[in-house]
Amino acid sequence: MDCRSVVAELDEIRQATTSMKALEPPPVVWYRVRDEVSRRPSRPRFAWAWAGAAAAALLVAVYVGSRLPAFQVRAAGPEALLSRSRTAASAELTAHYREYLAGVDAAIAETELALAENPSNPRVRMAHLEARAARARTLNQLYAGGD
Amino acid sequence: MFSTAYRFMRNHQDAEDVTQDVFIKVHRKMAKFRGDSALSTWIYRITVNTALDLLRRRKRRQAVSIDDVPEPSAGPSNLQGLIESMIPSLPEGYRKVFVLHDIQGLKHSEIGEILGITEGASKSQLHRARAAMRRKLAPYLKNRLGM
Repeated sequence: MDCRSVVAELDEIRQATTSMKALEPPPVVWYRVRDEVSRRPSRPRFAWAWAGAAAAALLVAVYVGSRLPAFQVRAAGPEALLSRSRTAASAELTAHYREYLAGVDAAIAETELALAENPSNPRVRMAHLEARAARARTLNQLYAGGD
Repeated sequence: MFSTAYRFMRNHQDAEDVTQDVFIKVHRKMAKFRGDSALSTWIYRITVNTALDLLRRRKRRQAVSIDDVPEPSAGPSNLQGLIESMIPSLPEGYRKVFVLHDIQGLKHSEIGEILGITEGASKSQLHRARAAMRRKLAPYLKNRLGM
């Protein structure tokens, strides 16, 4: 094949491609985009982000909790226990307990939000149960401490 | 955007899905756009990546072989149709440059930015893409040009 025919064929292809019309999507696409954009929050929140935050909060809570020594008080609730603890234990120990319970409560709150968005996600459910169990263990420890 | 998506997907429904995805991605990531490149370049990059990701994920598009070329007949619209049907059979690198340059009319410098390649690489890919396209269309072109 000579060069002239190659050039002629390439020209033919070039003419065909440059004259291809720009295509427009049907209007339904714009409606779908609008609906999708308005449905999603501006800062996307993903289930795993929530689960991760909850797990992180729980880890902090467990770490702080593991450093707590046995507590020799008995009272009606955590706040009362912590108030009375000022007389029974050092201020530092009380601060540890407050920090621990705050971490557990934050984990519970995070996992509740995650559950609201992903009620059937097993890992989110497990994180929520673990957070609640951590809180129950702390309260049990506080109540049982004087026995 | 829709045209580019359609040239890659060869299917209106898929092109609509890609267009919708791209708009949502642009909406979500707009705050992260640093202005290092033109907005259109950024959007083209998202479009090309979204379309190719979808193609890779589905893996249901079979490359069109030379045997699938329709019977030659007269008329420029038919050549356009043939070229469009041949695009998926081009290797990915050729296909991207061919669509962006010869159909969408972008410059090599812009294509380089979009695809993260040099201008020289873009020119080289285009040369090969055109040669491959010409080979695929040879029977039709010979008939059409009377060679």
